[in-house]
Amino acid sequence: MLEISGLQAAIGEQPILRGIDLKIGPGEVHAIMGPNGSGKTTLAQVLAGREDYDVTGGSVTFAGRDLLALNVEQRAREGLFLAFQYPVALPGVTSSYFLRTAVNAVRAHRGQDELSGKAFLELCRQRMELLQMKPELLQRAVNDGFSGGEKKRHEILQLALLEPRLALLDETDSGLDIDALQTVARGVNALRDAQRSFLMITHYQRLLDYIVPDYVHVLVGGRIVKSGDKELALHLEEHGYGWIVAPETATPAAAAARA
Amino acid sequence: MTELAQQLRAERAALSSAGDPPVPGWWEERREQALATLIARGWPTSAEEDWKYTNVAPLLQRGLARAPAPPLTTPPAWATRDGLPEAITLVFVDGHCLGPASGAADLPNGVRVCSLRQALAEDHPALRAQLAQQPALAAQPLAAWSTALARDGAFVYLPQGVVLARPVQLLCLTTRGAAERVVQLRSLLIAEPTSELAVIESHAAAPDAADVACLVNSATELVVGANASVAHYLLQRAGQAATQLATVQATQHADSRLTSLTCVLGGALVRNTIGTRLAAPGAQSTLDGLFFAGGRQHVDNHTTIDHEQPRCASSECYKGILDGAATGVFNGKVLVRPQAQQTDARQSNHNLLLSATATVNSKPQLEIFADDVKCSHGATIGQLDAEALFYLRARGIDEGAARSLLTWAFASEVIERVPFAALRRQLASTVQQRLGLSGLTTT
Ligand SMILES: Nc1ncnc2c1ncn2[C@@H]1O[C@H](COP(=O)(O)OP(=O)(O)OP(=O)(O)O)[C@@H](O)[C@H]1O
Ligand SMILES: [Mg+2]
Repeated sequence: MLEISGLQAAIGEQPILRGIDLKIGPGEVHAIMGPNGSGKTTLAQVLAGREDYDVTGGSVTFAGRDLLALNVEQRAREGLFLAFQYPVALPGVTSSYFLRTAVNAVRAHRGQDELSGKAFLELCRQRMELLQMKPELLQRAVNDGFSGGEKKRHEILQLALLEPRLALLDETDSGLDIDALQTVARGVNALRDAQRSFLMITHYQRLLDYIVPDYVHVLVGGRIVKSGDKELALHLEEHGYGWIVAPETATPAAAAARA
Repeated sequence: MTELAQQLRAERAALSSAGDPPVPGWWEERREQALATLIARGWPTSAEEDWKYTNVAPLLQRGLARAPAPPLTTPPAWATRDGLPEAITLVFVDGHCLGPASGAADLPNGVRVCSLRQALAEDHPALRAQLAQQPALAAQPLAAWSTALARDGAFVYLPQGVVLARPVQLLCLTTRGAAERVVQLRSLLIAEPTSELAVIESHAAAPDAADVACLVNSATELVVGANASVAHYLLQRAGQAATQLATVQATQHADSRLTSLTCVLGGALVRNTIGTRLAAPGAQSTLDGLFFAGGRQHVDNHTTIDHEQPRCASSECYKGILDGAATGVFNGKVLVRPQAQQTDARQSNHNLLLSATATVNSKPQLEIFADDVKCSHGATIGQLDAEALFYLRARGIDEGAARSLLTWAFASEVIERVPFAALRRQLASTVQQRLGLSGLTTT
């Protein structure tokens, strides 16, 4: 599904991703954890095609295609979805128009007919019910004045409507209360199947109780410094990141001690 | 006599011999005065601060035919097509008022919605008291031009305490008959104390006349009585070769409310001069505007809010969208005179530049002579929000459509303030069509 090798990215002169290797197979759920500022959002945004970052090395293959050669909207249409850590407010753009335009853009790319207004509303209603969202939200401007929880659910609603091959969830659990977390997790789990893959960025082990990952990776200083299964997340919860030392920051003594 | 004087005198002479019904002597005197004022000061030139960005002189000297276009006898079907069906409607075609107002059968006692000529023929007492009596209007050269030479316009009068539930609509249209001609309009809207009035002044080209080069010069004066409320919507969708010059001037009495909303969506050259004088304590004004120009269009918005008396509030928000090689101007003057304590004045002007060749000149002009006041202003000139653009594209929406959608969102904030659904839809669809969007609804 997704194969990242040696991916490096920088903002201006400042390198942020320093060589990421990651392989995600069809149907797999991966989690990425890591301290603040370690590059998790950068990784997600670079994959989604954010042009503010310069890709300075490495390659990414997505569903057999060179992902880095595609522009932002092409990536989305090919089935890559990013749930934003900070969803953007669009005053003046109603959610229903936004969602329908997005759904139809992706459908057109897949050779499917445009959804009629009625069919679209029906689909929306179904998905919103699953996420326990109020239908009135559709008439409001996208993310404008939405509560933190409403924004996150709205991201998952988009995920449910766009039915991507790979979903990147950047801290979708942050700011959710316990009930909302379960609702969102239920929404995500309902979308899991043998083909669809997920990459979840999170700070909290709790999310992984609800959406159980196949793999957990730790990102520190722009590199994946450790990978394991869900037990790794439990260990991190208990011991923090201190026991893992990023290779480039390791002192010779520490490196020797580890060896 | 100067060339200008000769020209204007000749036009005025032609007007008197045009076989129009006689007008009261006081009106002849005021027109004469306006003419003299204009002759004395001359056409505005770009050497004047207020006309720096918009040089109308060559246009005005170009010798467009000043003889009015021949009148149509019956209102054509298209005249009211874009109108609000529930409104009380006056139709002006090439400056001529066609027939009496429609939808005016059951107006409350004393309410008048008619042509200025009709009102002059009756010598309506409010006319003598108010027509061309505002110094701020008289000082505007284009308004003086209209006062001196317009043959018609609208007269709307609301007696004390009358709340007119339906809006009054002035449909001002230009046809092929107006090609290479000047169309003048002169209107007076009066809301006596505690009355409520909404007027939609809509300027457009007839369906087959979108390419006609004509010049429309309108002057509209508003008198807002104590505790009265007036809303004035100036909707301009002139043809692509047309020049649209409009002057609007209001005088507001104690505790009155004025809402002015201007939408400029057409015309080759547009100059709007809009002012209000808060002439008594407790008056409130809202001046909003949207201008959307592309190609080689030029749109100049000059507004003046004159806080003359204490405890008045004004809020102004103009938004501009400039594409192609269009140029836009916003000049917002807020004057707070020494006695206007406890003034609350807010102003903002936000501009979106959609191309590298479009330009906008934004100039807030705050002149504050009182000390106990709250005044704020903000102006921005920018491109579309990069975060928002990325968000839309990340959902599979192509860049062009994403840009259009965000541009629409920027414009819609002003359009949403029009309280008449049918008009809102019309304005929305005009903007959306220009942006190549479809299927959007307004909220
Ligand atoms: N646009 C930018 N300009 C400058 N620096 C940036 C930019 N985007 C990211 N960075 C820097 O890159 C580093 C990684 O940021 P990133 O947002 O990827 O971290 P993160 O792992 O997602 O952190 P968090 O857990 O706090 O969300 C940080 O030091 C950040 O300041
Ligand atoms: Mg982050």
